Amino acid sequence: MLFQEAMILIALKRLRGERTDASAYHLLSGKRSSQTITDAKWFQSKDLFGALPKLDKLQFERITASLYHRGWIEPGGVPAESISASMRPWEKLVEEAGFDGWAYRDTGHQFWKRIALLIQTLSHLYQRKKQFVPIIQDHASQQWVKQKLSSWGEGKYTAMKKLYEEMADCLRDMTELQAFIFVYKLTGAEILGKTTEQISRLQHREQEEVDYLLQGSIHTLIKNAENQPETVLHECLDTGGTPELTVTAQKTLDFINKGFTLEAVARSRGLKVSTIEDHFVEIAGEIKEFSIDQLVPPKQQEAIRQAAASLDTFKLKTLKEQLDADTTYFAIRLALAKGGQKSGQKNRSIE
Amino acid sequence: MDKKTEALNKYFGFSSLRAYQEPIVDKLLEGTDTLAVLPTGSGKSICFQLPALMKNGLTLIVSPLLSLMDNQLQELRAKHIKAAAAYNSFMSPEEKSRVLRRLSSLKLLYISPEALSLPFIVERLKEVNVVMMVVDEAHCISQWGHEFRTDYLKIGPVREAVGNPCMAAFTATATPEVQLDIKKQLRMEEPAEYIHSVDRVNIALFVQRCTSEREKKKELVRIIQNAPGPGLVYVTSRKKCEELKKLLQEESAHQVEAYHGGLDNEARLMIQQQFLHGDLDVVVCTNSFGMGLNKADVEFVLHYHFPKDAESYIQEIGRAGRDGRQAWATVLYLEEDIIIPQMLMESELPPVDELDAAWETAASSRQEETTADLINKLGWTETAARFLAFYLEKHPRKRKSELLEDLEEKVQQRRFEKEKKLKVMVQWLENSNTCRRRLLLQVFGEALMKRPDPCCDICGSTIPVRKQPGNEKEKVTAPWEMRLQELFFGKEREHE
Repeated sequence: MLFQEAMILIALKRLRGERTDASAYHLLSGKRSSQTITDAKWFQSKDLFGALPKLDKLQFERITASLYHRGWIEPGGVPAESISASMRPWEKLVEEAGFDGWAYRDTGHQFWKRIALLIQTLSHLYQRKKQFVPIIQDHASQQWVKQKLSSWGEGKYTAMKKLYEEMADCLRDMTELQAFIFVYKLTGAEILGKTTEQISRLQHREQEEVDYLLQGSIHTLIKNAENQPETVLHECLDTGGTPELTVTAQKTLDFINKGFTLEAVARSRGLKVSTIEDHFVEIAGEIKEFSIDQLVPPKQQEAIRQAAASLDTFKLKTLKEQLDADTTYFAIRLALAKGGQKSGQKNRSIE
Repeated sequence: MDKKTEALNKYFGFSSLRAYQEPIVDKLLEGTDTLAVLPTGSGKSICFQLPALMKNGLTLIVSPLLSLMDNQLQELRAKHIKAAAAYNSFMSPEEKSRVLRRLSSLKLLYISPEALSLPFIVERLKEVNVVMMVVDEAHCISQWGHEFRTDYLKIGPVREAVGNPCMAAFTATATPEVQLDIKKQLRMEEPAEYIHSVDRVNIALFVQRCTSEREKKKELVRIIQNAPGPGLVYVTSRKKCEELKKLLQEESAHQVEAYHGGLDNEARLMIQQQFLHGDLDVVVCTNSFGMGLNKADVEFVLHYHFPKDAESYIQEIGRAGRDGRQAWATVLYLEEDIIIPQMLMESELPPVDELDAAWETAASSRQEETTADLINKLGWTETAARFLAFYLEKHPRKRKSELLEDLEEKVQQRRFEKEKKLKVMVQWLENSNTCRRRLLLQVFGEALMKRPDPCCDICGSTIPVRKQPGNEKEKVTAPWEMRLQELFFGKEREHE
């Protein structure tokens, strides 16, 4: 089983036949849309969000078709039982990777650029080598490193040794493979980093997998750093900390904060009501302080959550059939997005 | 210490210039127009960088290739020279406006010819003190040259617009007629001229005739196996690049990688650095690799596909032997391969039967978008689209029928020129009785003064065989803990 196949199968398994194959594609390619973001949350699949960023629709369809053809996916859109044993090692890999594209995709890229350039710069200074070609060409990261170095001043080698210890500690907690990938990607004064392809040859792994594991190790470092304010790694984080909203949903939120109703937002922005509804669902899922009680009476919210729990499904149609006739799809989506109080479920509770 | 030596020391850490650099620097310092034909890799850039840094004001360096700009900028940054920047269409709007804002504090601005022809750029440049203009790869300005770019024709008018600064033109390959054209188009008046021979005496020249693709591959493997490198293998397509890389990785004992436009930026930079650093023995690449790459110890250049003309050939083999040590170049010549330069040639010209459709497209698009529209709507190559856009812009009032007729003639004329050049190249490859060096120099109007040894296959030289004892495959990879430590502190923790 190839990495991409495994990831598609895992995504379909998580979606439990309650979404179309296209939803799996959007999830894996990391589409920043309200629907996909809600899916990632509901189906506890932030670790798959953007796991295959280079996968295009056509490739996805070709792979999926072949999986159906081989009988690895059943007509209902879920992986066949017969394949579950072969999926297990991959599921374990996803579990251990620490990948969280939903929370860290963009911050992850930035964090990596800073760390990679910082290490290259420090190691050149430490080894008294002045001239080098920065492996990160991005201006913002270069400025950041410059500022860091001047703020550390004479203490830069102390910071460097601390950074080394912190990284070694954190890498020791990862799988050998992930630690290897992360370290071999880095460049120092005497040794140059390897390309993804070169690492994939060294480790006999596919490039997509190496990429996923690299991002996973970066996300793990970020998660650790977030909880340890005294570390050098923590200093490498972006302190901006904006909530994870799409740009367009953020605009809608700005309107809401000015007191616009849903319909008024749609009119003012010249967008369809259904689009603004998508934004509401996204906002409800992301912003804790955002109350939906005006839109869905608390009693109805409770009924929806109970139905979802007892039927063990997120399939909107099934839920709607079960609920009072005046419960709209929009209400169901809002209530599920808000989530939190779902009962009776062990490991599938909504965060 | 005179000012020049002082500046040389301060910026570049050298105590003296090479003999042929000295007069060029002097001429540019006194503000005399200068035409320099220097072999690639001979330390050309310092000839204009040094005077630019010493002058009060801005020097514009027109450079056709992004990778060239990037390389030179990187080198300057590595030397902590900060008053240098680039401006080209691949930069983000923020980056561009940042550069324009700090224009008055810059000494060197690398700019692409298409950016230089934008009216608002010219306006901005008029506001600052432009003291010198440098045209790199100046042969691109001539339609008799092998890489004619219509954008280059706009450099002359820009020069006048920004107050006629001193002009320097550099190229590695220019036949006498191209030299004349450069001077004319750039409006140079009685320039100082420094014309060096295109002959690279320390590069031995070989052509090996093959009768099939299979034989070519076999020869490639055999040659590479016996040549420890570092070396470059030139091919024309990304696909072939990858295919040959795999073949060599499997069949030879060397560290081989591919380099082409299909790789992401990070991988490209990494492979370039690995090659510079000596981690790689051979890079299989398209001709975008090596432009401005300053690796002195490249031992060989192997053409798996032959280039479209002698100028390209000279330029590409010029990446070998820059340290002055004996190097060699070989072409694996397969007659059928002629289809590749032929197709390339066709794609770089506007298709004659589409001129009408192109005219319609151009008529309905805004002037600055004509090129993009031709590329997107008609699927033309950038070169072809620029060609057409340029003539439309130059003759805005001509009637359609007249213009199309005119254009068709221009296209035919270009094709004729290109075919002639390709024919010269093929004749050189097919030649089996005249010294290759003598013949190559003839193309550039030069005579062979002294035959080096080794010279070429016709003169009886052979490709050197250097069997490596044991193979050089990468040692067992170090565990990550050790690697991490080396990354930070180096192989020995000497400062502990």
